Amino acid sequence: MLIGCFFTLGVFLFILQTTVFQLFPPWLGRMDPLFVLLVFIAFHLKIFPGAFLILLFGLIMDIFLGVFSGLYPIIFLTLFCFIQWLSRLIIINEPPQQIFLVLISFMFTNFINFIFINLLVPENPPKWIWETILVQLFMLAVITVPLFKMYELMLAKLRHKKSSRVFSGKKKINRFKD
Amino acid sequence: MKKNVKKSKGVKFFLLSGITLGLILILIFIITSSGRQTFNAPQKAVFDLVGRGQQIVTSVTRNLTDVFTSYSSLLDVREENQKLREELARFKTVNNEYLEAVATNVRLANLLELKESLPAPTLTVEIVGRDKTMWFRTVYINRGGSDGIRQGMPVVTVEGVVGQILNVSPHFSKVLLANDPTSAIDVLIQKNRTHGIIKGIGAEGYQLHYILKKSAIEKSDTIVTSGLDGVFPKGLPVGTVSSVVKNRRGMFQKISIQPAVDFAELEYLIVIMRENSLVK
Repeated sequence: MLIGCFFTLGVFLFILQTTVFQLFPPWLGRMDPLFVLLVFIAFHLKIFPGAFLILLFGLIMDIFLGVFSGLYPIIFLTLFCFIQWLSRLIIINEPPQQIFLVLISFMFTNFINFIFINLLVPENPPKWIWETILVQLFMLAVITVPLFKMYELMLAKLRHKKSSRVFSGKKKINRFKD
Repeated sequence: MKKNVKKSKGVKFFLLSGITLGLILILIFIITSSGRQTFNAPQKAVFDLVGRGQQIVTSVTRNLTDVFTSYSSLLDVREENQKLREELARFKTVNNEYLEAVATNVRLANLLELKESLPAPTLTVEIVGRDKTMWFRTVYINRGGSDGIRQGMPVVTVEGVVGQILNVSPHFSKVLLANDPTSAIDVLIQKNRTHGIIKGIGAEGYQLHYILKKSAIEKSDTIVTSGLDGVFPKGLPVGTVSSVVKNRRGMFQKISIQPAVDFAELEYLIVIMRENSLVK
């Protein structure tokens, strides 16, 4: 149930990002709610369902994005391991930590992507464009907190927990990762 | 208690090792299957399913945008209508002349017993989605293998070259845009027929490679396809030269090309249904 819901949400976000978001101005169209979902899944879900979902998304991205088969499952599973390692260091689940986690994961993913493409297309290597990266980082920083709240609410509902406090504005008693 | 913690750590270690092993296996797979671009059955099914979703969302969005645009341009519609009627009448005359010329051409060709050289059939397709990453340039179109589209077929617009078909599922296809870093097209400089190869450099367009320093090339020169790559027919517009740099070192010039098409504004494309494409 939990895996199915997050998977459907991810596919829906992917469809939105490849269609509607493309009509927006470039800077606004670079919002990446799916990436925030991936980080959320890797950070909050247990290892097995988390890795399974991330691999599933990697396989789907592999069909749609890019030209090299097998690239995205590797990148996403590497990202999963990276977040698993980071989550041992970041045990507090508060907005500043969430933003930091998403931004550093985004940089990590793009860096891995950049390295792979450089290895696979050495005759015409891609350019690392800081301007685009920074715009994407800014957009991610803006959307991370509300999206994390939304995903937390969804996760809580799916786990049949009382979730009314998520949007109540009150400080959570437990500030640590569940 | 301690036993439980140890057991849990053991399970985590086992799972992480499994993921790492999986990564290594996929890495081996990617290396061994490098260059394999054909989708397998599950990939085709997912491409079709998600593609259907993209088609619905694109269609709804386009309709909404159309309604808004129609409403905002309603004021000018009468004047524009009149203009269009006049243009239509003029084009009808031109079209009649054109049809007459084609008929004469066919008659004369038959008389001269010329073989072949009829242009390949084309198929108009609609873009239903675009690659969301900054690293690749691909779009998804609403026609696939069941419509006769095959891997490697050239994709164009009336302005010029767009790219080529990369992957096909029964009802949708993925198009590799010409400005993708993995794309390369054999081209000619129109004015002096010098051969070169253009490679995509993302949003900035193309870079023209292998043009010797002694070759005369200037800003605004037109670049067309050479037809030698076995993908694109000869003479399609590719772009115009936007800058030429002759470094002191090396044999070749560094030439930037402004694409003939605006990749950000693409909506409808034309697939040239060439059966014997060399690229598979």
